Amino acid sequence: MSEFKFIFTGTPGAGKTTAIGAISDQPPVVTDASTTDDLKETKDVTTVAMDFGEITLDEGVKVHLYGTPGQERFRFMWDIIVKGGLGLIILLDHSRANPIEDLDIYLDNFSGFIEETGAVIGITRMDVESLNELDLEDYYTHLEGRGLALPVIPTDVRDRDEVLMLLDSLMAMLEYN
Amino acid sequence: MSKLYVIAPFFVDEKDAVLMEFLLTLIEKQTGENWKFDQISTADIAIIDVDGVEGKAMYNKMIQQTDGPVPVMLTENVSAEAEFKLFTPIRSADFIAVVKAVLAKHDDLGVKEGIEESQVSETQEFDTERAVKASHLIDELSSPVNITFKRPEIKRLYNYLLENNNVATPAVKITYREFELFVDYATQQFYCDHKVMLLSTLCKADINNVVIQSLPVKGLQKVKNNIIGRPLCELIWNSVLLGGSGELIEKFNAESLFHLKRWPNPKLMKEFPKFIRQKYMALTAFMVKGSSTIADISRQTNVQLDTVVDFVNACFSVGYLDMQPEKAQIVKKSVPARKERNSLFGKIRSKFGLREEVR
Repeated sequence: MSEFKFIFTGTPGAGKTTAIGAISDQPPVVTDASTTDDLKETKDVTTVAMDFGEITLDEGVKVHLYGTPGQERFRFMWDIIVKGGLGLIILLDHSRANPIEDLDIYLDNFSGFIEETGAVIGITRMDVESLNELDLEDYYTHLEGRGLALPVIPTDVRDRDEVLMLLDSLMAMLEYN
Repeated sequence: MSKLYVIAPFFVDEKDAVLMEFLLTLIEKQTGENWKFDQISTADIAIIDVDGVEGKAMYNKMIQQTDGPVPVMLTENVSAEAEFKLFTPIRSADFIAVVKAVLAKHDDLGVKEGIEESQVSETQEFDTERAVKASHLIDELSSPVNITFKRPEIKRLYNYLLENNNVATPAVKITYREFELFVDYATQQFYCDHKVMLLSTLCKADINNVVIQSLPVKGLQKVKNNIIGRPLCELIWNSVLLGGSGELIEKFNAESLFHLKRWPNPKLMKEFPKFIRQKYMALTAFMVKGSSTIADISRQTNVQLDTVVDFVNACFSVGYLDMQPEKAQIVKKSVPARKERNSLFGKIRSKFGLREEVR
Protein backbone atom coordinates (compact mmCIF):
# COMPACT_ATOMS: atom_id res chain seq x y z
CA MET A 1 0.00 0.00 0.00
CA SER A 2 1.36 3.44 -0.88
CA GLU A 3 2.31 5.82 1.92
CA PHE A 4 0.09 8.84 2.36
CA LYS A 5 1.72 11.80 4.00
CA PHE A 6 1.30 15.50 4.53
CA ILE A 7 4.33 17.67 5.21
CA PHE A 8 4.51 20.52 7.71
CA THR A 9 7.34 22.97 7.27
CA GLY A 10 8.07 26.55 8.26
CA THR A 11 10.05 28.83 10.47
CA PRO A 12 11.46 27.63 13.78
CA GLY A 13 8.96 28.30 16.55
CA ALA A 14 6.00 28.65 14.19
CA GLY A 15 4.30 25.63 15.75
CA LYS A 16 4.86 22.67 13.44
CA THR A 17 5.18 20.22 16.32
CA THR A 18 2.07 21.64 18.02
CA ALA A 19 0.07 21.54 14.77
CA ILE A 20 0.93 17.89 14.18
CA GLY A 21 0.10 17.10 17.80
CA ALA A 22 -3.30 18.79 17.40
CA ILE A 23 -4.52 16.32 14.77
CA SER A 24 -2.37 13.23 15.24
CA ASP A 25 -4.04 10.19 16.81
CA GLN A 26 -0.98 9.53 18.93
CA PRO A 27 1.27 12.08 20.58
CA PRO A 28 3.80 12.92 17.86
CA VAL A 29 7.27 11.46 17.91
CA VAL A 30 9.46 14.50 18.36
CA THR A 31 13.20 14.74 17.99
CA ASP A 32 14.01 17.89 19.89
CA ALA A 33 17.30 19.22 21.16
CA SER A 34 18.23 22.27 23.19
CA THR A 35 18.60 25.38 21.11
CA THR A 36 22.06 26.84 20.96
CA ASP A 37 21.70 29.61 18.41
CA ASP A 38 19.62 32.76 18.00
CA LEU A 39 16.46 30.81 18.79
CA LYS A 40 17.52 30.53 22.41
CA GLU A 41 15.56 33.72 23.16
CA THR A 42 12.24 32.25 22.03
CA LYS A 43 12.49 28.48 22.37
CA ASP A 44 14.18 26.13 24.76
CA VAL A 45 14.15 23.18 22.39
CA THR A 46 13.87 22.86 18.62
CA THR A 47 13.27 20.01 16.18
CA VAL A 48 16.55 18.71 14.76
CA ALA A 49 15.41 15.78 12.63
CA MET A 50 11.68 15.64 12.15
CA ASP A 51 8.32 15.28 13.85
CA PHE A 52 6.10 12.37 13.08
CA GLY A 53 2.38 12.00 13.67
CA GLU A 54 -0.21 9.58 12.36
CA ILE A 55 -3.91 9.54 11.54
CA THR A 56 -5.65 6.17 11.26
CA LEU A 57 -8.69 6.02 9.00
CA ASP A 58 -11.31 3.33 8.31
CA GLU A 59 -9.94 -0.01 7.16
CA GLY A 60 -6.63 0.74 8.85
CA VAL A 61 -5.48 3.26 6.26
CA LYS A 62 -2.82 5.46 7.80
CA VAL A 63 -1.91 9.01 6.93
CA HIS A 64 1.45 10.21 8.17
CA LEU A 65 2.19 13.76 9.22
CA TYR A 66 5.81 14.80 8.90
CA GLY A 67 7.28 17.98 10.31
CA THR A 68 10.54 19.20 8.86
CA PRO A 69 13.14 20.83 11.05
CA GLY A 70 12.59 24.57 10.73
CA GLN A 71 16.14 25.84 10.75
CA GLU A 72 17.63 26.36 7.32
CA ARG A 73 20.81 24.51 8.24
CA PHE A 74 18.73 21.32 8.21
CA ARG A 75 17.48 21.91 4.69
CA PHE A 76 19.20 18.76 3.43
CA MET A 77 16.43 16.91 5.31
CA TRP A 78 13.64 18.69 3.47
CA ASP A 79 14.03 16.90 0.13
CA ILE A 80 14.11 13.55 1.87
CA ILE A 81 10.96 14.20 3.89
CA VAL A 82 8.78 15.55 1.05
CA LYS A 83 9.39 12.59 -1.24
CA GLY A 84 5.99 11.05 -2.00
CA GLY A 85 4.11 13.68 0.01
CA LEU A 86 0.52 14.67 -0.83
CA GLY A 87 0.90 18.37 -0.08
CA LEU A 88 2.64 20.98 2.01
CA ILE A 89 1.56 23.11 4.96
CA ILE A 90 3.90 26.06 5.51
CA LEU A 91 3.72 27.65 8.97
CA LEU A 92 5.21 31.10 9.41
CA ASP A 93 5.83 32.92 12.68
CA HIS A 94 4.37 36.36 11.95
CA SER A 95 6.19 37.99 14.85
CA ARG A 96 9.63 37.48 13.31
CA ALA A 97 11.54 40.34 11.71
CA ASN A 98 10.76 39.47 8.10
CA PRO A 99 8.23 36.69 7.61
CA ILE A 100 7.92 37.47 3.89
CA GLU A 101 11.59 36.66 3.48
CA ASP A 102 10.95 33.52 5.51
CA LEU A 103 8.10 32.62 3.17
CA ASP A 104 10.39 32.95 0.16
CA ILE A 105 12.84 30.46 1.67
CA TYR A 106 10.14 27.79 1.77
CA LEU A 107 8.56 28.72 -1.57
CA ASP A 108 11.99 28.53 -3.22
CA ASN A 109 13.18 25.36 -1.56
CA PHE A 110 9.92 23.50 -2.06
CA SER A 111 9.05 25.05 -5.45
CA GLY A 112 9.08 21.75 -7.35
CA PHE A 113 6.97 20.00 -4.73
CA ILE A 114 4.49 22.90 -4.54
CA GLU A 115 4.11 22.99 -8.31
CA GLU A 116 3.52 19.27 -8.41
CA THR A 117 1.12 19.16 -5.47
CA GLY A 118 0.04 22.28 -3.63
CA ALA A 119 0.59 24.24 -0.45
CA VAL A 120 -1.31 26.17 2.16
CA ILE A 121 0.25 28.86 4.34
CA GLY A 122 -0.64 29.20 8.01
CA ILE A 123 0.36 32.44 9.68
CA THR A 124 0.91 31.96 13.39
CA ARG A 125 1.54 34.28 16.33
CA MET A 126 -0.40 37.13 14.74
CA ASP A 127 -1.74 37.99 18.18
CA VAL A 128 1.63 38.71 19.79
CA GLU A 129 3.86 41.73 19.52
CA SER A 130 5.56 41.68 16.18
CA LEU A 131 8.92 42.89 14.92
CA ASN A 132 7.30 44.03 11.66
CA GLU A 133 4.40 46.10 10.36
CA LEU A 134 3.02 43.47 7.99
CA ASP A 135 -0.56 42.30 7.78
CA LEU A 136 -2.28 39.43 6.00
CA GLU A 137 -2.72 41.44 2.83
CA ASP A 138 1.06 41.71 2.46
CA TYR A 139 1.38 37.94 2.22
CA TYR A 140 -1.30 37.80 -0.49
CA THR A 141 0.29 40.65 -2.43
CA HIS A 142 3.64 38.91 -2.27
CA LEU A 143 2.19 35.62 -3.49
CA GLU A 144 0.37 37.39 -6.33
CA GLY A 145 3.69 38.93 -7.31
CA ARG A 146 5.12 35.43 -7.56
CA GLY A 147 2.12 34.26 -9.60
CA LEU A 148 0.85 32.00 -6.83
CA ALA A 149 -2.73 31.68 -5.57
CA LEU A 150 -2.31 29.83 -2.30
CA PRO A 151 -4.50 30.03 0.81
CA VAL A 152 -3.02 32.21 3.56
CA ILE A 153 -4.77 31.57 6.83
CA PRO A 154 -4.12 33.16 10.22
CA THR A 155 -3.85 30.15 12.49
CA ASP A 156 -3.58 29.33 16.15
CA VAL A 157 -1.97 25.90 15.98
CA ARG A 158 -3.08 25.12 19.53
CA ASP A 159 -6.65 25.07 18.22
CA ARG A 160 -7.39 21.74 16.51
CA ASP A 161 -10.16 23.26 14.35
CA GLU A 162 -7.75 25.82 12.97
CA VAL A 163 -5.21 23.17 12.04
CA LEU A 164 -8.02 21.19 10.40
CA MET A 165 -8.94 24.28 8.40
CA LEU A 166 -5.42 24.28 6.97
CA LEU A 167 -5.68 20.62 6.11
CA ASP A 168 -9.14 20.98 4.58
CA SER A 169 -8.01 23.89 2.40
CA LEU A 170 -5.03 21.89 1.23
CA MET A 171 -7.20 18.88 0.36
CA ALA A 172 -9.66 21.10 -1.54
CA MET A 173 -6.76 22.44 -3.56
CA LEU A 174 -5.34 18.99 -4.27
CA GLU A 175 -8.69 17.63 -5.43
CA TYR A 176 -8.50 19.77 -8.58
CA ASN A 177 -4.83 19.10 -9.36
CA MET B 1 -36.44 12.76 27.59
CA SER B 2 -35.48 15.11 24.75
CA LYS B 3 -36.82 14.85 21.23
CA LEU B 4 -35.29 15.18 17.81
CA TYR B 5 -37.20 17.33 15.34
CA VAL B 6 -36.45 17.68 11.64
CA ILE B 7 -37.21 20.74 9.54
CA ALA B 8 -36.98 20.47 5.75
CA PRO B 9 -36.72 23.40 3.36
CA PHE B 10 -38.36 23.08 -0.06
CA PHE B 11 -37.67 25.52 -2.91
CA VAL B 12 -36.11 27.77 -0.29
CA ASP B 13 -33.32 30.11 -1.32
CA GLU B 14 -29.95 28.85 -0.08
CA LYS B 15 -29.30 31.98 1.99
CA ASP B 16 -32.65 31.63 3.75
CA ALA B 17 -31.81 27.99 4.42
CA VAL B 18 -28.49 29.00 5.92
CA LEU B 19 -30.18 31.55 8.16
CA MET B 20 -32.81 29.04 9.31
CA GLU B 21 -30.19 26.43 10.09
CA PHE B 22 -28.32 28.97 12.14
CA LEU B 23 -31.50 29.99 14.00
CA LEU B 24 -32.24 26.36 14.85
CA THR B 25 -29.06 26.28 16.89
CA LEU B 26 -30.50 29.15 18.93
CA ILE B 27 -33.82 27.32 19.36
CA GLU B 28 -31.91 24.24 20.53
CA LYS B 29 -30.34 26.29 23.27
CA GLN B 30 -33.71 27.77 24.27
CA THR B 31 -35.75 24.56 24.25
CA GLY B 32 -33.19 21.90 25.12
CA GLU B 33 -34.58 19.79 22.25
CA ASN B 34 -32.50 18.64 19.29
CA TRP B 35 -33.12 19.95 15.81
CA LYS B 36 -31.96 18.79 12.44
CA PHE B 37 -32.22 20.82 9.28
CA ASP B 38 -32.33 18.47 6.34
CA GLN B 39 -34.20 18.16 3.08
CA ILE B 40 -35.73 14.80 3.79
CA SER B 41 -39.25 13.70 3.20
CA THR B 42 -39.70 12.36 6.74
CA ALA B 43 -39.37 15.81 8.26
CA ASP B 44 -41.68 17.06 10.98
CA ILE B 45 -42.00 20.53 9.53
CA ALA B 46 -41.67 21.51 5.86
CA ILE B 47 -40.87 25.10 5.04
CA ILE B 48 -41.99 25.74 1.48
CA ASP B 49 -41.27 28.82 -0.55
CA VAL B 50 -44.58 29.32 -2.37
CA ASP B 51 -43.51 32.25 -4.53
CA GLY B 52 -42.63 29.85 -7.35
CA VAL B 53 -45.01 27.56 -9.22
CA GLU B 54 -43.49 24.33 -7.86
CA GLY B 55 -43.47 25.53 -4.28
CA LYS B 56 -47.08 26.65 -4.49
CA ALA B 57 -48.16 23.28 -5.89
CA MET B 58 -46.23 21.41 -3.23
CA TYR B 59 -47.69 23.52 -0.45
CA ASN B 60 -51.25 23.01 -1.73
CA LYS B 61 -50.77 19.25 -1.84
CA MET B 62 -49.09 19.10 1.52
CA ILE B 63 -51.85 20.94 3.39
CA GLN B 64 -54.27 18.31 2.16
CA GLN B 65 -52.22 15.49 3.67
CA THR B 66 -52.83 14.58 7.26
CA ASP B 67 -49.81 12.40 7.90
CA GLY B 68 -47.01 14.39 6.25
CA PRO B 69 -44.84 17.18 7.59
CA VAL B 70 -46.59 20.27 8.90
CA PRO B 71 -46.28 22.79 6.07
CA VAL B 72 -45.11 26.32 6.77
CA MET B 73 -45.63 28.82 3.96
CA LEU B 74 -42.68 31.05 3.10
CA THR B 75 -43.62 34.02 0.95
CA GLU B 76 -43.03 37.66 0.13
CA ASN B 77 -46.77 38.21 -0.11
CA VAL B 78 -47.87 39.77 3.17
CA SER B 79 -51.55 39.13 2.43
CA ALA B 80 -51.10 35.38 1.87
CA GLU B 81 -53.39 33.19 3.97
CA ALA B 82 -51.94 30.20 5.81
CA GLU B 83 -52.09 28.64 9.24
CA PHE B 84 -48.32 28.86 9.61
CA LYS B 85 -46.50 31.40 7.51
CA LEU B 86 -43.21 33.23 7.36
CA PHE B 87 -42.36 36.25 5.31
CA THR B 88 -39.18 36.90 3.39
CA PRO B 89 -36.79 38.41 4.26
CA ILE B 90 -37.02 36.11 7.26
CA ARG B 91 -36.84 37.74 10.67
CA SER B 92 -35.21 35.72 13.42
CA ALA B 93 -38.04 36.37 15.89
CA ASP B 94 -40.72 35.34 13.35
CA PHE B 95 -38.94 32.10 12.54
CA ILE B 96 -38.58 31.13 16.18
CA ALA B 97 -42.23 32.09 16.83
CA VAL B 98 -43.59 30.02 13.96
CA VAL B 99 -41.58 26.96 14.98
CA LYS B 100 -42.88 27.26 18.53
CA ALA B 101 -46.46 27.73 17.24
CA VAL B 102 -46.22 24.54 15.19
CA LEU B 103 -44.93 22.58 18.18
CA ALA B 104 -47.67 23.99 20.41
CA LYS B 105 -50.35 22.76 18.04
CA HIS B 106 -48.75 19.45 17.06
CA ASP B 107 -47.37 17.86 20.21
CA ASP B 108 -46.91 14.49 18.46
CA LEU B 109 -44.02 15.73 16.32
CA GLY B 110 -40.42 14.64 16.78
CA VAL B 111 -38.78 11.38 17.73
CA LYS B 112 -37.92 10.76 21.36
CA GLU B 113 -34.25 10.04 21.70
CA GLY B 114 -33.29 6.86 23.51
CA ILE B 115 -36.75 5.24 23.09
CA GLU B 116 -37.49 1.53 23.25
CA GLU B 117 -36.66 -0.65 20.24
CA SER B 118 -40.31 -1.55 19.57
CA GLN B 119 -41.21 2.11 19.46
CA VAL B 120 -38.38 2.77 17.06
CA SER B 121 -39.57 0.23 14.55
CA GLU B 122 -43.11 1.63 14.75
CA THR B 123 -41.74 5.09 14.10
CA GLN B 124 -39.63 3.81 11.23
CA GLU B 125 -42.64 2.15 9.58
CA PHE B 126 -44.57 5.36 9.85
CA ASP B 127 -41.66 7.32 8.48
CA THR B 128 -41.15 4.95 5.57
CA GLU B 129 -44.76 5.31 4.49
CA ARG B 130 -44.54 9.06 4.81
CA ALA B 131 -41.24 9.10 2.91
CA VAL B 132 -42.71 7.23 -0.05
CA LYS B 133 -45.67 9.61 -0.31
CA ALA B 134 -43.49 12.66 -0.01
CA SER B 135 -40.86 11.44 -2.46
CA HIS B 136 -43.59 10.83 -5.08
CA LEU B 137 -44.74 14.36 -4.50
CA ILE B 138 -41.24 15.75 -4.96
CA ASP B 139 -40.66 13.70 -8.14
CA GLU B 140 -43.97 14.88 -9.55
CA LEU B 141 -43.05 18.50 -9.00
CA SER B 142 -39.44 18.35 -10.10
CA SER B 143 -38.66 19.97 -13.43
CA PRO B 144 -35.44 20.44 -15.41
CA VAL B 145 -33.39 23.48 -14.43
CA ASN B 146 -32.78 26.02 -17.17
CA ILE B 147 -29.44 27.81 -17.19
CA THR B 148 -30.42 31.46 -17.31
CA PHE B 149 -28.79 34.41 -15.66
CA LYS B 150 -31.09 36.71 -13.81
CA ARG B 151 -30.43 40.40 -13.53
CA PRO B 152 -30.80 42.26 -10.25
CA GLU B 153 -34.34 43.59 -9.84
CA ILE B 154 -33.76 45.45 -6.63
CA LYS B 155 -30.69 47.03 -5.11
CA ARG B 156 -29.38 45.53 -1.94
CA LEU B 157 -26.82 46.37 0.72
CA TYR B 158 -23.91 45.12 -1.35
CA ASN B 159 -24.92 47.32 -4.31
CA TYR B 160 -24.95 50.31 -1.99
CA LEU B 161 -21.60 49.45 -0.41
CA LEU B 162 -19.94 48.94 -3.77
CA GLU B 163 -21.31 52.14 -5.24
CA ASN B 164 -20.14 54.19 -2.28
CA ASN B 165 -16.90 52.44 -1.42
CA ASN B 166 -14.62 55.42 -1.62
CA VAL B 167 -12.37 56.69 1.13
CA ALA B 168 -13.86 60.17 0.67
CA THR B 169 -17.41 58.98 1.49
CA PRO B 170 -18.43 60.04 4.99
CA ALA B 171 -19.02 57.36 7.62
CA VAL B 172 -22.60 56.10 7.81
CA LYS B 173 -24.98 54.38 10.17
CA ILE B 174 -27.09 51.69 8.49
CA THR B 175 -30.31 50.60 10.19
CA TYR B 176 -32.84 47.98 9.17
CA ARG B 177 -35.38 46.59 11.63
CA GLU B 178 -33.38 45.42 14.67
CA PHE B 179 -30.05 45.56 12.86
CA GLU B 180 -27.59 48.38 13.10
CA LEU B 181 -24.13 48.70 11.68
CA PHE B 182 -21.62 51.43 11.02
CA VAL B 183 -19.33 51.82 8.04
CA ASP B 184 -16.19 53.94 8.00
CA TYR B 185 -15.02 54.10 4.40
CA ALA B 186 -11.97 56.19 5.27
CA THR B 187 -10.42 53.37 7.31
CA GLN B 188 -12.21 50.58 5.38
CA GLN B 189 -13.70 49.21 8.58
CA PHE B 190 -17.21 48.33 9.70
CA TYR B 191 -18.60 48.02 13.19
CA CYS B 192 -21.39 45.69 14.15
CA ASP B 193 -22.45 43.79 17.27
CA HIS B 194 -24.08 40.95 15.34
CA LYS B 195 -22.49 37.92 13.79
CA VAL B 196 -22.40 38.37 10.03
CA MET B 197 -24.76 35.43 9.50
CA LEU B 198 -27.47 37.26 11.41
CA LEU B 199 -27.25 40.15 8.96
CA SER B 200 -28.82 37.94 6.30
CA THR B 201 -32.16 39.78 6.60
CA LEU B 202 -30.48 43.13 6.10
CA CYS B 203 -28.38 41.84 3.21
CA LYS B 204 -31.47 40.57 1.36
CA ALA B 205 -33.58 43.68 1.96
CA ASP B 206 -34.35 46.27 -0.71
CA ILE B 207 -31.88 49.07 0.03
CA ASN B 208 -34.74 51.59 -0.33
CA ASN B 209 -36.19 50.21 2.88
CA VAL B 210 -32.91 50.55 4.75
CA VAL B 211 -32.19 53.74 6.69
CA ILE B 212 -28.75 55.18 5.94
CA GLN B 213 -27.59 58.24 7.84
CA SER B 214 -24.26 60.01 7.79
CA LEU B 215 -22.36 59.68 11.02
CA PRO B 216 -20.63 62.69 12.60
CA VAL B 217 -17.02 62.34 13.75
CA LYS B 218 -18.00 62.25 17.42
CA GLY B 219 -20.59 59.56 16.79
CA LEU B 220 -18.08 57.47 14.87
CA GLN B 221 -15.55 57.78 17.68
CA LYS B 222 -18.15 56.60 20.17
CA VAL B 223 -18.85 53.56 18.01
CA LYS B 224 -15.13 52.81 17.72
CA ASN B 225 -14.80 52.97 21.50
CA ASN B 226 -17.51 50.37 21.97
CA ILE B 227 -17.30 47.96 19.05
CA ILE B 228 -14.28 46.28 17.54
CA GLY B 229 -13.86 47.15 13.87
CA ARG B 230 -13.65 44.53 11.15
CA PRO B 231 -12.40 44.91 7.57
CA LEU B 232 -15.05 46.38 5.27
CA CYS B 233 -14.20 43.82 2.59
CA GLU B 234 -15.46 41.16 5.01
CA LEU B 235 -18.87 42.87 5.10
CA ILE B 236 -18.95 43.34 1.32
CA TRP B 237 -17.95 39.74 0.70
CA ASN B 238 -20.57 38.35 3.08
CA SER B 239 -23.30 40.76 2.01
CA VAL B 240 -22.97 39.52 -1.57
CA LEU B 241 -23.06 35.86 -0.51
CA LEU B 242 -25.96 36.39 1.89
CA GLY B 243 -27.91 38.90 -0.20
CA GLY B 244 -27.34 37.62 -3.72
CA SER B 245 -29.85 35.33 -5.32
CA GLY B 246 -28.03 34.12 -8.38
CA GLU B 247 -28.20 37.46 -10.14
CA LEU B 248 -25.12 37.98 -12.25
CA ILE B 249 -23.48 41.40 -12.13
CA GLU B 250 -24.43 43.20 -15.33
CA LYS B 251 -21.01 43.45 -16.93
CA PHE B 252 -20.77 39.65 -17.22
CA ASN B 253 -22.60 37.18 -19.41
CA ALA B 254 -22.76 33.44 -20.03
CA GLU B 255 -19.51 33.51 -22.07
CA SER B 256 -17.50 35.48 -19.51
CA LEU B 257 -14.44 33.69 -18.18
CA PHE B 258 -13.58 33.79 -14.54
CA HIS B 259 -10.23 33.15 -12.95
CA LEU B 260 -9.56 33.60 -9.27
CA LYS B 261 -6.23 35.31 -8.73
CA ARG B 262 -6.13 34.83 -4.99
CA TRP B 263 -7.51 32.41 -2.49
CA PRO B 264 -10.14 34.07 -0.24
CA ASN B 265 -9.35 33.72 3.43
CA PRO B 266 -11.28 30.63 4.59
CA LYS B 267 -11.93 32.47 7.86
CA LEU B 268 -14.27 34.77 5.92
CA MET B 269 -16.53 31.76 5.54
CA LYS B 270 -16.14 30.44 9.05
CA GLU B 271 -19.66 31.40 10.12
CA PHE B 272 -21.28 29.61 7.20
CA PRO B 273 -22.48 26.04 7.78
CA LYS B 274 -20.06 23.32 6.70
CA PHE B 275 -21.98 22.29 3.59
CA ILE B 276 -21.83 25.84 2.23
CA ARG B 277 -18.17 26.25 3.19
CA GLN B 278 -17.35 23.07 1.29
CA LYS B 279 -18.99 24.47 -1.82
CA TYR B 280 -17.07 27.74 -1.58
CA MET B 281 -13.84 25.87 -1.00
CA ALA B 282 -14.46 23.65 -4.02
CA LEU B 283 -15.24 26.72 -6.15
CA THR B 284 -12.08 28.42 -4.96
CA ALA B 285 -9.89 25.38 -5.59
CA PHE B 286 -11.31 25.01 -9.09
CA MET B 287 -11.26 28.69 -10.03
CA VAL B 288 -7.63 29.34 -9.04
CA LYS B 289 -6.54 26.70 -11.54
CA GLY B 290 -7.67 28.57 -14.65
CA SER B 291 -10.42 30.45 -16.48
CA SER B 292 -13.87 28.96 -16.95
CA THR B 293 -17.42 30.04 -17.66
CA ILE B 294 -19.99 29.97 -14.89
CA ALA B 295 -21.77 27.00 -16.43
CA ASP B 296 -18.50 25.07 -16.64
CA ILE B 297 -17.57 25.90 -13.06
CA SER B 298 -20.99 24.71 -11.92
CA ARG B 299 -20.74 21.49 -13.92
CA GLN B 300 -17.24 20.55 -12.83
CA THR B 301 -17.63 21.36 -9.16
CA ASN B 302 -21.21 20.07 -8.83
CA VAL B 303 -22.21 23.35 -7.22
CA GLN B 304 -25.54 24.80 -8.25
CA LEU B 305 -25.53 27.72 -10.65
CA ASP B 306 -27.02 30.32 -8.28
CA THR B 307 -24.32 29.62 -5.72
CA VAL B 308 -21.59 29.89 -8.36
CA VAL B 309 -22.97 33.22 -9.54
CA ASP B 310 -23.10 34.64 -6.01
CA PHE B 311 -19.57 33.40 -5.33
CA VAL B 312 -18.28 34.98 -8.55
CA ASN B 313 -20.02 38.26 -7.66
CA ALA B 314 -18.49 38.17 -4.17
CA CYS B 315 -14.99 37.56 -5.53
CA PHE B 316 -15.46 40.36 -8.06
CA SER B 317 -16.69 42.74 -5.36
CA VAL B 318 -13.53 42.41 -3.29
CA GLY B 319 -11.15 42.39 -6.25
CA TYR B 320 -10.18 38.71 -6.26
CA LEU B 321 -11.17 38.03 -9.86
CA ASP B 322 -8.67 38.30 -12.65
CA MET B 323 -10.24 40.70 -15.14
CA GLN B 324 -7.72 40.14 -17.91
CA PRO B 325 -9.49 38.77 -20.98
CA GLU B 326 -8.25 35.24 -21.44
CA LYS B 327 -8.95 32.26 -23.56
CA ALA B 328 -10.69 29.45 -21.78
CA GLN B 329 -8.29 27.06 -20.16
CA ILE B 330 -9.45 23.57 -19.69
CA VAL B 331 -9.02 22.78 -16.05
CA LYS B 332 -7.74 19.29 -15.51
CA LYS B 333 -10.45 16.96 -14.39
CA SER B 334 -9.77 14.31 -11.84
CA VAL B 335 -8.33 11.28 -13.57
CA PRO B 336 -8.90 7.73 -12.33
CA ALA B 337 -5.40 7.62 -10.83
CA ARG B 338 -6.41 10.49 -8.57
CA LYS B 339 -9.57 8.76 -7.40
CA GLU B 340 -7.75 6.86 -4.67
CA ARG B 341 -6.35 10.08 -3.32
CA ASN B 342 -9.67 11.93 -3.43
CA SER B 343 -11.39 9.06 -1.67
CA LEU B 344 -8.66 9.30 0.97
CA PHE B 345 -9.52 12.97 1.46
CA GLY B 346 -13.17 11.99 1.88
CA LYS B 347 -12.17 9.60 4.66
CA ILE B 348 -10.03 12.22 6.37
CA ARG B 349 -12.92 14.70 6.24
CA SER B 350 -15.30 12.13 7.70
CA LYS B 351 -12.90 11.34 10.52
CA PHE B 352 -12.58 14.96 11.54
CA GLY B 353 -16.22 15.94 10.94
CA LEU B 354 -15.22 18.18 8.04
CA ARG B 355 -17.81 16.62 5.75
CA GLU B 356 -21.52 17.25 5.80
CA GLU B 357 -24.21 16.01 3.46
CA VAL B 358 -24.20 18.22 0.38
CA ARG B 359 -27.67 19.43 -0.44
